[in-house]
Amino acid sequence: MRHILAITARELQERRLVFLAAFLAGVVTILVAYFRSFGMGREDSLIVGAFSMIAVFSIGVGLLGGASMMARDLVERRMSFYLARPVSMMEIWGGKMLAALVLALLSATIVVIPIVLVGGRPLLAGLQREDVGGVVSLSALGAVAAVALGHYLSITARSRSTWVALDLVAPLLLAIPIAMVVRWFAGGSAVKLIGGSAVALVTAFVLLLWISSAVGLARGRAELREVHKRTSILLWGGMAIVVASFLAFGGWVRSAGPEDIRSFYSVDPSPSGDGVVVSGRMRGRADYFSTFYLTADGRSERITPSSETIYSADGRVAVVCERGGALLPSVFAERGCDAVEVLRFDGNGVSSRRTTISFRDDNTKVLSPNGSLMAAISNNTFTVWNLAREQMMASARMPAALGVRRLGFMDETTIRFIGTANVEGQNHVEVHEFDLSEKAWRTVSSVLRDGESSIMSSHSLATYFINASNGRSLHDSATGNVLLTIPGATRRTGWAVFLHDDRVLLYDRPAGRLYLYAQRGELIREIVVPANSRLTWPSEPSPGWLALSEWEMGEDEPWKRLWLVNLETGESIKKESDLRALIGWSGPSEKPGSFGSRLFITPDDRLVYFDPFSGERRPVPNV
Amino acid sequence: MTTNGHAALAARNLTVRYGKLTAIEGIDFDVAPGSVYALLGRNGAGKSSLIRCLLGFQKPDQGQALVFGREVWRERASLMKRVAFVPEEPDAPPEMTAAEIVRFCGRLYEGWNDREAMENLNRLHIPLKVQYGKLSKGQKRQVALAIALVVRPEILILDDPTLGLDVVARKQLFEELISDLADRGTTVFVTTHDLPGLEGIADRVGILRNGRMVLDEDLEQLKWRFRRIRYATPAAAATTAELEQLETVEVRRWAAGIEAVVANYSDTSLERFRASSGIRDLQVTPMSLEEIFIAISSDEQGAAS
Repeated sequence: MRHILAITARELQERRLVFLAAFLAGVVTILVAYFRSFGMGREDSLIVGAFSMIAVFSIGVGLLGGASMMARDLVERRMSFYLARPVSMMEIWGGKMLAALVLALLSATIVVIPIVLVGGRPLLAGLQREDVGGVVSLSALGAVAAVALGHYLSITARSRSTWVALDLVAPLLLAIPIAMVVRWFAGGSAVKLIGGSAVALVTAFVLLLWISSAVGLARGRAELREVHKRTSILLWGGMAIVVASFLAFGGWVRSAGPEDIRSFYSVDPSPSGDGVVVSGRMRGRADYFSTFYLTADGRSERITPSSETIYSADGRVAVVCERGGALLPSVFAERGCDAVEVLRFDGNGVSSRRTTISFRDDNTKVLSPNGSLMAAISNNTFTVWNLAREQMMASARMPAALGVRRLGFMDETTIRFIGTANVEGQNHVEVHEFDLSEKAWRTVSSVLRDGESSIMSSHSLATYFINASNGRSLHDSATGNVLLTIPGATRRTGWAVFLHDDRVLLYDRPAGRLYLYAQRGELIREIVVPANSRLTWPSEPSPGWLALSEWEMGEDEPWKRLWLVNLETGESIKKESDLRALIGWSGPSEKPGSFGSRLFITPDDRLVYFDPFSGERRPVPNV
Repeated sequence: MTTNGHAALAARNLTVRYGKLTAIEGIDFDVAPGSVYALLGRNGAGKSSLIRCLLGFQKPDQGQALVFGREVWRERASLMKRVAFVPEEPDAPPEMTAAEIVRFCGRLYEGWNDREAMENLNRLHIPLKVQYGKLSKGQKRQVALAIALVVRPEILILDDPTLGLDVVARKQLFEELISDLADRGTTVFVTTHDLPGLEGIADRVGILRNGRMVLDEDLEQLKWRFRRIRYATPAAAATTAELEQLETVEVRRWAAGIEAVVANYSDTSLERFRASSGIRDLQVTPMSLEEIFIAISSDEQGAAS
């Protein structure tokens, strides 16, 4: 240690003018803050100036110090001065690198001394409001990286050896797998994973810079080219191992299957019930997001990560959106759709095709019954596309101020919209239809609504609910006529949902009742369930049967039991179960009794197929 | 001073390459403790590469450089306590003054004596507060030498120490300093182009040529077996074959006769040559180290030993 400190002290003495320069830079910062405000108050100018100077001196001096400590001695063949003394290579390296580090950090400290002295207490109070610790630690880490980087760049530039080719080629070659893995992670919208990986890669690089600088000097000693050669080989060899590990890690992250989903973000069962598209964050893989198509026979296929799958009515075609751009795709990119991808499902699985169809802004999409056409609304413009030809068939402006809640094909040429509108200061629910042959739209119905209300439409778009603060009403979309009024039925008292065949199920929690209504609003059955229980939306695990999970608020394991309700008889069967039914955003829409209607989630967020009648339970996919 | 029976300095099959260029190849030699070893060679012969290996600055591509029987590449730091080095090119940081250099070295060596170092510098009239970079080349060398001596090394390696020194300083270096060190038992390994200075000081001489050690021999023996002979022309043609028996290194034919440098002189072989050639006016003169070096260095075959 004595030798290290001796060398450090010598190097610092040689560069002592840097400390004077730092002090003067602090004085200049004060003068600048006093004569030019840059649109800020004087204290803020001083604070910004102080932070800037800390960053400039810690990183800038770190780079210059690292660049000059050893490379200059090697170039000028002065390393023999140290090598001829009884000091080890590690002591020489340690002494010089420590000197560069102290030079950077001490000058970054000195630069703020006059600023703090002049700023006085107000400045200190101002500093306390800022993230001083963050700036200081980041600058310190920056100095650590800068010193090693400065040394490496300097010996590389000065060596003029053929090994410089490695320094030029290696980063480019290593950037390819890194970019590939980052793209995988971006495709999974794993922002945290990308951030963590960046920190890990930079840390590994800086660590290798330091290690390679030490080993390079120890092996190369007085020979600059040898020092550079050893440094480069170790640095890039080490980085190759790091990147290979990163690639393997990326592969492992990407290999996550549906059994690894820890929380389901979206579940989109096929209307045919043959399969379901599920997506969510992956267990043990930070925020990595994946999407899978799961089939009834227990298979799973990874598909383009997406947050929403739009099916055709026959369930054979679907579209998903690629977001965030080709370079860095992201499911959670805020706006737009960079490419519409068409998925085709058959007995063998799913095939996908990326189209040239894209939308710059948020969009709502729907497919025709056989999946040949796609209608979309984006930026208040309605378009219809032929998916096979990737050709736009129609384009029209939307009716002004229409907030579309639901969009659907009534047949191959008619598309219906159900949405909210504000007409002359009054809130309405409006239904419009677009005729593809005439390429024009028409208003079908318009109904006044409470401004606080929300709407929910049936799967066929033949009816819709208005959920107001004082009750719910069921309307005929074609006329707007009220089919059913349920006063007092609000979100606080329960929920209402359309079953797959557009019948309505209303849950009255305080009363402990389920009410089943026909499509046109006639009451079919009243079913008794425990009062004040908490039941979820139902799934339809068998024709004529509902499955409702019950949960208890505030419990560690809230899912307690499953209620099987026979819609024909009103009979309800209680089953102790910790499973909860998997239901899409628009309520149960898949064919009752199909694979998609019997998917449940376990307490540890695993997906299982469950037949509540026979008790058969198996993981999905069946692995 | 312990050497445990090992040579102070030694090389074993030492080879250094720079890419495709071989700087030194298969060098073997020993420097006895307490001796003065002069390594000679023309520029580019490989002297600096050899010294760098002997000091542990450079790893040989093959073979070993040994100091007191220990591999210097592996044990440089501990061996440098016993070795001092005066480089050909001044290597101290140019911003430091001589006094600062002394103080800095004092923190690296155990038993360092600052006062002695300062006295050495004063004796040499070195300004203590002038930056090293601003000193003359001779002064820089004297600073390096003064510091080297404070260490009281068991081995002193001098790489062309007379470069930049005036005549007086040169004479002092060889006749006083090196002789004095040798008398005290210090092993001195010196490379120089100032060959007259080595006469009477060096115990052994090594000559490098194109990276190979073409000669490694006691100076006294070397000077005994290398002689210059001269004789008149008329018999010259008839005696060329006989002349080869004396292992000539250099043969010059003049109008007045023949002059040759023989590498394996002995009274017996000369008498045999005289008898067989019938030459009566044969003159034999001893050669200086410089003359021998020139003769060997210009000999294409390099058959010096």
